Amino acid sequence: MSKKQVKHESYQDSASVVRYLEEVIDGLNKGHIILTSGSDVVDLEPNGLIQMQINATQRKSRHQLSVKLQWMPKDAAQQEDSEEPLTIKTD
Amino acid sequence: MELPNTITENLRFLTIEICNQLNRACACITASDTQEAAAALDKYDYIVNLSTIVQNHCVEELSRSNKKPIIVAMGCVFNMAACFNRIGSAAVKMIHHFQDYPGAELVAGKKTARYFLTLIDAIKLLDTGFVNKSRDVGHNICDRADAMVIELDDLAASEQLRESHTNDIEGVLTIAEKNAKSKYFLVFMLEQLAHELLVLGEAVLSLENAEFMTIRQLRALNSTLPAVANEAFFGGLAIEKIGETRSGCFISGITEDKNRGLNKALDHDAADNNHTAKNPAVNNGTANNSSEVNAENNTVHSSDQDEQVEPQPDNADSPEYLAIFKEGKKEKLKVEKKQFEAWNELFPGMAPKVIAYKKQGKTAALLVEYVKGKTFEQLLFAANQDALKIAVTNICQTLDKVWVQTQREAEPEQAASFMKQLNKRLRAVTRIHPEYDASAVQIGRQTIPSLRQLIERCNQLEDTIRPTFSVFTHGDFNIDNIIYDSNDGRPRFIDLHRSKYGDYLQDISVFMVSNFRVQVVDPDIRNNISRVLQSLYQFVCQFAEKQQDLTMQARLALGLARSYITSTRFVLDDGFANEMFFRGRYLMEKIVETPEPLTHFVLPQEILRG
Repeated sequence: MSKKQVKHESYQDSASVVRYLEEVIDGLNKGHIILTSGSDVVDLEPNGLIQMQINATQRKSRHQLSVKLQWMPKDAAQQEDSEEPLTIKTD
Repeated sequence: MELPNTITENLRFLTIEICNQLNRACACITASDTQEAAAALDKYDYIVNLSTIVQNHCVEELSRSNKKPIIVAMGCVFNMAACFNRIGSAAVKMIHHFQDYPGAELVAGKKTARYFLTLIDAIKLLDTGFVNKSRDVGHNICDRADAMVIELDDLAASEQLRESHTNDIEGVLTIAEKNAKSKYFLVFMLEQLAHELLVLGEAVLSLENAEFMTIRQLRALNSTLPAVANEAFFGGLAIEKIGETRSGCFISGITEDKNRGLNKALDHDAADNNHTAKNPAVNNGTANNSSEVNAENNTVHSSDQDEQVEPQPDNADSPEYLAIFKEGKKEKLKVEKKQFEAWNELFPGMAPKVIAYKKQGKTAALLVEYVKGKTFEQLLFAANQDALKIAVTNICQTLDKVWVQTQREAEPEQAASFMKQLNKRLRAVTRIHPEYDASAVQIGRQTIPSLRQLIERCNQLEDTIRPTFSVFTHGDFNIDNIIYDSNDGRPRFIDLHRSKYGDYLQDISVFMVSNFRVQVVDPDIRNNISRVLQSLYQFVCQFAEKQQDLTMQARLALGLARSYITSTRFVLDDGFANEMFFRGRYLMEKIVETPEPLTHFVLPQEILRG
């Protein structure tokens, strides 16, 4: 499956950032969030183990906080489960 | 200037060889001389080699010097060599076409040999030591080229040659049709050669003037310059190119230069011209500002508008000119001349005085007073906070005076229509930054609108916040278009061709963003920019309050958004372009989010940070 992507970058004030992040939180709670841009649709189902990476930096001219969430999609996880378990044989 | 021997010698060989080549081509076409045709094809490589040798010498000279006269001289010689190369190539193309053409001489007609002779005679002028008489040689070559172009054009018209070429004839061509097409080809190539001749003449004149100029520009200068070349100047005049606008307007400063003497290079008829117009600024040898190109200004302004601040002496060592010469499209310069006069009528001395104006065909030339002082951009870079503050205060006081005195009830078409302006330039923006044209983004139930959606909505809202009054605006109030003389503390305006009655926020928003978009990262200068933006904002708030302009804040936001976003079309650096684009978008999003009426809108103060 080719990579699907929705990307956006802009200036926002805190109130707007909260508004958009609340949608993300809502999606996490429900286990489902859709992001679209034109014909690009990214349909996400956060589940299972979610790898969370928080990175905060403080420089003289710019402060930054990034939160990165990664997980394995359900179908990929199921596919993995159905594979033969790893066996180690000794003679 | 004296050219190095290696260049002069090879140029001479090249000149002789080109003349021989044209002779051979002429013999081949007009007399079906096959021997000459073979010789010409054989000699073409030699011409290419000679051109390359000359060009290589030019590059070597350039690598040894970065002085302007050398750069111009080598550029001219390089162009001449390239020109000879193209003439040689054109001769070969013509020979190939006519080599085995039955009855070529009949197609060519009797006049063809004369055209070749004109070309050869003109090029031979270069062989007679043009370095010492380049003024006469350059003009002579250009005159001959012009005459030849006109004659060939007439010939093509009278014999309907262009039609014969463009007619889509199907099937096998008759002999007559074939001949007509060949004749068109011949005339077309001769026209090309005449254009090359013109380029040669221009190179010779540029060499003499130590400045790249086309013959059109030089003739225009020649027709206006007698206005300043009066008895006050005993020395020569020199020209210094200041720049060219995006609309193709050529701008140069006229200086006195005893060493170079532009008047030497100018046409002899200048001496016969009885024009004795006097210009005080010229006669007392002062000059005004030079940077009339693509200006955008920024000023800093103090919040206290009650008093004229005492100016501080200006120790600037910026170049001074006797006058500023502009050459370009007639319609633009005609308007600019009128605007200079309109401003000076309303506010004497606010704009440069018009010294002379001449039109010719679709182009015109304007000679104006040089305004002494620094552009606002130069003040910004000087990073002298106090001087900048004084300048901003004085500029704001001047604006206040202009706006109050010229205030009148607004006509509907005088609204700035910032969003329509943005729409008009959107293609130019997205050509450079296609990512700005991205679709809206939906995150769950929340939508981040696309730029086009924002423009559309803001455009609707803008119709509800039209200004109630108009003022006489500059129209392109960039930091380069304000000249400030710290000696008298007086700002003066240049590049006024867009002046009209309109929203004062047009000028202020352009001015603010032109400050911001200065591409410097020096923290002191960025701080200066912040102060300028804040001062301008305070000033405009005070003005709006006095005038009870209730929608100023929202209009200013749209004006700033327009200028921030349209400015990105000139910025290739993604980081800086994004900074401006994001600011523009942010302002528009804030406008859209604000509940109506927009009289409640307050400009987000974070936008005033430089």
